[in-house]
Amino acid sequence: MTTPTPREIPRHGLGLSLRPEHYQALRESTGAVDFLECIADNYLEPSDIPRKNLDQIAAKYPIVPHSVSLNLAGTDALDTRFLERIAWLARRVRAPFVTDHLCWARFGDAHLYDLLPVPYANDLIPWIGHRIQAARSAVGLPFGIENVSTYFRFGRDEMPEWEFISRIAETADCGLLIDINNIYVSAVNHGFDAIDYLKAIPWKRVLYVHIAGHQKRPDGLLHDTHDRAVSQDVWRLYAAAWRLGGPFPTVLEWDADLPDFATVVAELELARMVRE
Amino acid sequence: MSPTPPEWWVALQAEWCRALARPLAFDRGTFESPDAAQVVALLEPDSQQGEPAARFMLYHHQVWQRICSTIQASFPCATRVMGPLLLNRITLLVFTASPPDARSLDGAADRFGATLRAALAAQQAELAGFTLQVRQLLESQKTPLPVLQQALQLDLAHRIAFGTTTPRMDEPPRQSDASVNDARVLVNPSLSVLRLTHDVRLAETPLLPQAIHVAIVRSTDGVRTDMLDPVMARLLALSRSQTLGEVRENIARAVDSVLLAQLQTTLDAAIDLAFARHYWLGLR
Repeated sequence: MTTPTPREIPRHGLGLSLRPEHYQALRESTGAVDFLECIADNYLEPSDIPRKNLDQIAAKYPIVPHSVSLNLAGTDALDTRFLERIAWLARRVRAPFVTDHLCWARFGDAHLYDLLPVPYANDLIPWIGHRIQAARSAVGLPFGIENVSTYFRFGRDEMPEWEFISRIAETADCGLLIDINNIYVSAVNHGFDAIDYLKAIPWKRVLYVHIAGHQKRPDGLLHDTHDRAVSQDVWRLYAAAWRLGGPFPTVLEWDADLPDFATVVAELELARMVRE
Repeated sequence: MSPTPPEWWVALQAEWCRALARPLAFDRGTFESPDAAQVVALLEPDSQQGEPAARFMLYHHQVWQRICSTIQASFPCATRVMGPLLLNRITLLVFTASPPDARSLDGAADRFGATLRAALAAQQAELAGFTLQVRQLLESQKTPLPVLQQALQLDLAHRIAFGTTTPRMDEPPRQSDASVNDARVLVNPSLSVLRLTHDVRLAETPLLPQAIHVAIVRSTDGVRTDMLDPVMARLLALSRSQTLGEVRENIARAVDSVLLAQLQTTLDAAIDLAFARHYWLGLR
């Protein structure tokens, strides 16, 4: 079997997370964005309707498969069948790389459908690093892990999050997907300086970054909701990240209360202005 | 040698899983029992963070909100009949009895549909444990069970049609060719034919003046819903197990002599339509 040549994502590229509500606009547009990120899991169900939509859009735009259920920090065996299917999808869209999250989502037979937090403990690094290496090997493409928003911290933490994710990336020799909104949300929720996080990132490993909107709850906690425009604070942090580690491709995630395509593209275009 | 996960991490994930699987008290939005602080203490929070129970509850909310919103979106007709709050309570019953074991939320919806269908189909004497709880909850809310059954059938039929791959069609046969009567019909595996007595699209679910038949099917254009006339409904009901010739004979036997003369034309048209609408994919 020949491996198709992956499509390139420009380092200054601006992309969107792909949502069915925008399929039609994307089919009718040309060059509205530089690339798209799709939730890989949604295109691996038995129905071929989502895959046909993806094929049409992949004919016009580069696609990055982004998974939510590899359970990289889990304790059970990696799902090799699912990894094979992700690799198949990545080849189908000629993806340059694949990403998932530094989190756990399943225990035993119970699937929890969430990005659950991990203690930043020394003895987890070899375990998680080994699993990421195995995932990368199975997918056969560069592989990136994303920092998640967290609301709960563990008494077992032995280091800050930025040290933990950097050491895991080094152990696994993998890429990073840095979510700027998640850094901001976690910084406010746990009282650390988001700039310290940005300064510690090994930027040469960064495949692309995420930006998104969040909500502030009545109790003051920030909640990563992807249901609104990017906040001014997150744009400022994005500008700081660009100065420290740019250029890097950027994806705007907008999943709930989704406005029309033109509004989302206009929000994404702000990134160009913010980083100039 | 492959590393193994630290034992403490396995134990901690087990505690999280147990806590996330606990139902909430609907009126307070907290754990029913025991107290949230006791549960969260087992999750090894950082003692410096404020309100660890409130922080953990955000995860709890996310997990159940995703499951409940997926079930609502996957079963729109059943949601209309039950109302979203009752549907959420049934969802909690289903997934606290046994946590979701499917990789995808779509798989969780499949299990919900099968579980609710079984609970609705069970005879009174068979009700026990979980099915008894579901039926008692539905009856306490005065849910019209026959209407809910039809709504669920519609939702499940749509899920079957969406979940299958695009059918491959043979060339439609020429009915003038006598050999077609000996062939068996290859029915589209996505096809569901339903008999409905209530308009489940409406919240009040009024009784229809007369029962209607609908077909829900995956065609090359996507998922289609068609109203069926009585001949087509009978044709599709018979075609799953018989040759085309047997189908013709059985339908002819089922109508009175007055209609028999015009039946041949109607039946030929219905057979052509069954292929055109992709209810049938070919003959074997």
